[in-house]
Amino acid sequence: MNKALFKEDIKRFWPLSAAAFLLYFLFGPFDLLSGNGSTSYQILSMLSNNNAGFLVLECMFPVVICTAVFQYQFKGNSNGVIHAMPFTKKELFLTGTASACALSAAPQVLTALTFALMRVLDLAVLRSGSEAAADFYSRIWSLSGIGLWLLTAAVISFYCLCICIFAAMISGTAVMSLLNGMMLNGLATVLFTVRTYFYGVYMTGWCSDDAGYRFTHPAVYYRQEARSLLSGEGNRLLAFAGSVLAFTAVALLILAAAWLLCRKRAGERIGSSYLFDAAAFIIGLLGVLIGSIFFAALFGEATVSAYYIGALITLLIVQMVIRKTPRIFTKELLLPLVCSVLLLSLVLGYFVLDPLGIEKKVPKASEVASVQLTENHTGFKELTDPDLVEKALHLHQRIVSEPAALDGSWESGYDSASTIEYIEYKENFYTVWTSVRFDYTLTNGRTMIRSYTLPVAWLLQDDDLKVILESDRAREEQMIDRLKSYDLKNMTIYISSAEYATRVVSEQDMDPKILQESVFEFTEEEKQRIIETVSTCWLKRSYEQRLLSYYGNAFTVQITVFHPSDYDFEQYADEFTSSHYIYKDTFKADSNVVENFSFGVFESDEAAIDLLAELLRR
Amino acid sequence: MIQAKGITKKYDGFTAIENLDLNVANGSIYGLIGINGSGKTTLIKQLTGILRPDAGEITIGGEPVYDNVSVKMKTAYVPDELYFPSNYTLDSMASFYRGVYHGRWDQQRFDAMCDDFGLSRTNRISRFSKGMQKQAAFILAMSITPDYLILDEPVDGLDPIMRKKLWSYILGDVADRQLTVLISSHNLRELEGICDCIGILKNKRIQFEGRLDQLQSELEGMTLEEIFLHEMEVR
Repeated sequence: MNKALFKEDIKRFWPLSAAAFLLYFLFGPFDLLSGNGSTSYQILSMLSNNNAGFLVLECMFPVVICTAVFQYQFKGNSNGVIHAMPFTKKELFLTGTASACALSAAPQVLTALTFALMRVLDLAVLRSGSEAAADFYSRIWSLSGIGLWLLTAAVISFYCLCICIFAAMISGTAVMSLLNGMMLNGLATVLFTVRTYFYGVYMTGWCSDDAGYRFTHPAVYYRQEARSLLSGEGNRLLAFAGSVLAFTAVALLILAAAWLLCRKRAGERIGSSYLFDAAAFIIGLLGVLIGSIFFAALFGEATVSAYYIGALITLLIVQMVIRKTPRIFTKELLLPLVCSVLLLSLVLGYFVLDPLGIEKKVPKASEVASVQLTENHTGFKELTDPDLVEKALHLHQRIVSEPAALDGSWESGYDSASTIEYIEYKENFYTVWTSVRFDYTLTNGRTMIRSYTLPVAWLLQDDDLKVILESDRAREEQMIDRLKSYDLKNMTIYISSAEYATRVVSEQDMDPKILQESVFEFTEEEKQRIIETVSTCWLKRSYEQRLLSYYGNAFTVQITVFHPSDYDFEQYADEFTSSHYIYKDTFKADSNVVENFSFGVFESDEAAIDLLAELLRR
Repeated sequence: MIQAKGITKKYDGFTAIENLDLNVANGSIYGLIGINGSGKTTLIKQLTGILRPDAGEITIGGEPVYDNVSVKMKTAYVPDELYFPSNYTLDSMASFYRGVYHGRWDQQRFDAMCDDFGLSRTNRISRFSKGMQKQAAFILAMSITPDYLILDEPVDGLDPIMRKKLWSYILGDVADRQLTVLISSHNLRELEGICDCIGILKNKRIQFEGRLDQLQSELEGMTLEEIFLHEMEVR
């Protein structure tokens, strides 16, 4: 490494690092200091790399800094001057790498120091104090927690940096280096995590957000580890260390590959050799692929034509960038055009035809230990009874084997009084869809997740879901039954007006002004009456009313249950957080709410309407 | 001595230079001339270690040039297409060069030359005119007290006064320190007044190389321009 060159790099590009630090500061310390106090969630979010701003900086700043440090490669004259100076190629490469690392790490170190200073001076005061605050301070908002964040952020950045150095070695211009850096970042991550990714896709299917989430970035993996570690699960330390080592090792391999390319790279005429032409071509194709996905995503309903239109637009832009001219409509456009269409057709064909049967996979009954069935409007049901599991599997099988029927089910309609009433009331097409998610716990210990968006009308015809919803097990989980276990003293009831409220209010001879209010003080007796009444109404509900309970209700009764003052918080937090994706410390520090219940009151729920009218009239 | 033996350079199938030999004696000023596109800049980029020849060998002072820090330390190069980092002033460039050419950098000379050429040391070089940028590059190159100086179109864009200064610095160093100079230029009249030797690049190799005075006596007192035109027609 050449010290003079390193010093010069730092001198030249420190403003970029300063800008990055400013952004880190805004997303982190400033955010904590600017409010009326901080929440433990805010802090945990930052320190476990769950902060979107931090993540973008960790992944994208290396792209910028790398392009800046290696920019001499992209200009013939600067390249000439640099290579005529007394540096070896190796020195240039290593010095560039060291400078990029230092410039990339500097804002993170400064941010960590700022966090540490805030911690020592106790500047981030928790807004909502709780019994667990001390625990939170010692485990998460601690110097070791801050150090862990720094380590995680530095490793993520180093990994991205190595990919970007590789990208710089195959790029002919600074713009291409930026684009290549971003694209290879995604590609290398996918290749590296291909096993995990395939496993994820196999287990969650393409339809699950989780698959896309895993696809996005290695940061996700670090984050999971860091979170576990921050949550105080000591046994995760080894896994985290392994993860750090694995990513560092892969980063070093990529760096070695970049060095091999650097040695091969000619001193000038960059972008004109076969190697760089080929790289630009391949990167161009990837750009088209990513561009088409982005374009299709912009339109929400990602149709096949949207992918192709997006691909065409991106192809033209990419070709202009690569060829550095808007005059691209020549015969040279033909090859990338054909290759882009073929590649996109291959990818889309894979998703549409699903040759590996990933999307159509339904486990066998013998493979399933339990299934958690979640329907958007009726909550989740944990099913272990073989008969109910069988019903869930049957429902799942119907969903995957009848896509055409599902597509047409809305148009065919469903001859039900409530559906018709609903349709008459609401013309908004989208709200008659619901999501159904199957979370299988397999007998081999693995989990398999599939989620689908389905027309409510189709589900109304389904006997399997009806049996599940009306089963004893499902009833056990109904909110009304659970409500009985709580003390009325710890409950607050909110009444909020909903869609039909205006009509109901006028029919019930109530003062319309009450609709402007939402919180009412109820006596314990009134609370009891409300709960009993809505319980009765709920039990009377038919299957279809339950499915449609979100639509057309006049009022929503929101019942919030708080912790009693003598509640064993620690035990409850253990129990709660073990079954939810919530971190115990955050939960303990922030949450005093045990459970929230929401009950929609319909016009047909006469008893409930009468009671609410009576209570609200007073 | 700057020496090239049988060097060949190809770009994606196009041969720019083929089996070229060149010899520049220590303490001499060598004029490299050739028509546009004859490969002068390609040859110079190999002599300065920017490019590696596909075949053959280039040595300066008996050592290979490519990727050799000790040789590059003794060699200064002023390219035709200049480059200065944006926002850099002459002073900041001097600071950079001082660090890189540690032990060879002559600050007093830099100061003196800056004053002599009348260039601002605190203004951004990117805001200088093309001629001023050439002067800046020349000052920096001379301030590292090189043993070998390679110049590609050094007086292009310079006014006559500055050209005269530039030549006088070169001649002074050749006389005082045995500086070895290779100059590529289309300004044959000025080369004629300063060069000891010339090399004519044609058809991808040096077609003629020798002492200028000897050549002129052989060709009955022809000027360098006449010699060049003659060589282009004959060979």
